[in-house]
Amino acid sequence: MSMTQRQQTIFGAISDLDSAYVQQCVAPKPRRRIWQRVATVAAALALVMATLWGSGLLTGQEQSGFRGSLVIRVLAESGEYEQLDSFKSVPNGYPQQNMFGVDQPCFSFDVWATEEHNPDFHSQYELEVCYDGIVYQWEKDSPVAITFLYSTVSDSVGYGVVGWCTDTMELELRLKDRQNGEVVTTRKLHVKYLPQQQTYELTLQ
Amino acid sequence: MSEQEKIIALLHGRSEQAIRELERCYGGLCSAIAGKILSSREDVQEIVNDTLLAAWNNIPPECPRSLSAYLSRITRNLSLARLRNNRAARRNEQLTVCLEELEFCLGDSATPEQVLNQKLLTQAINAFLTTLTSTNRYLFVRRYYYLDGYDELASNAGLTQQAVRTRLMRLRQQLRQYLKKEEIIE
Repeated sequence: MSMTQRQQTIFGAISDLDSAYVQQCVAPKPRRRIWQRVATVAAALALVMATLWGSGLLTGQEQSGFRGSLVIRVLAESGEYEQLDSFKSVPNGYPQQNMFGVDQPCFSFDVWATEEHNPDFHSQYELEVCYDGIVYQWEKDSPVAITFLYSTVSDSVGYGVVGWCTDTMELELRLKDRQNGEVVTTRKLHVKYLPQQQTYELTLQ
Repeated sequence: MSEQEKIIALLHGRSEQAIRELERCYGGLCSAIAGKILSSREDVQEIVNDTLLAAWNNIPPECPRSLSAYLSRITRNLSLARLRNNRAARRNEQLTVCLEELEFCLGDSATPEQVLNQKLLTQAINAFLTTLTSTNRYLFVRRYYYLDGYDELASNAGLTQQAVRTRLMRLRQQLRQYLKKEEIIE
């Protein structure tokens, strides 16, 4: 079967696409997805966080109806996971390739929503990440490209968040009650990429 | 100096080492692209060789910004020419499906007799791509430029095959609307 004139035309048109797009989309090598990497870390952290929570080391904002907190932990330049109190500089997490095989800076952090003595936490609450008026959940769209995951250990729920930006962005983390959609607690995070240093600055607001 | 810059320097110096380096670095890419257009292994190998020869003949004076984009374009065009000029050459099934999907974007009113302006169409598609999110752009370019299967796309983009199918279907509808709005098609 030969190609029709229309097919030849559109095939030819696609062949002449801007080389930047063609270059950008050269096939990525098979690799572990970022959420899988984060999942590994998150699962390990869940145990640590549950222990820390039990020992009373973690604190956070508290609001009526929700007796827990959102705790943010980042992989700091020291190579250790540290709780984000107000500001931290974190290394560019995935300098080689992002999940689409494109060289792009990435940052990642974990969010831990804890509420004592509540094993049904995850069925009651969900975390949303909002950027520029759009709520991202499992979507991986640019420019936020955030993935979530959770793991439950005792009364802790963890979320791994991965994103990228080449300048700055404001993220809002919202913990919502699944039943009535009410936001029970929020945290705002300012992200700034410093290309010279190859690091991100994360600031709680 | 990047690998690409080294190869271009070798080409400018007319060193035959350039051909070997081109084949080592980009032979797989060209072969994959040609292999999704043509079904015969011999045809694919010939197209890859012709692509490398074309690069040798054209650089210099040409100095592409991206060798992978440059070579893949040559590979696509040579593969298409092979299909057009050699009736014995058989197209890959993957290409057939992709072409049918793409043809949808041209709408029903564009009859085969109408000659579409390929250059305008390229410009419109480039502009359309700028409006997309990076994931959707990736899916579109991988599907219709690199002719990836749904399974490959799903695996590389971290989505399910169904999600990829749905997204691409919406993208084709969006492109069709966009081409209508830009009066490229009726």
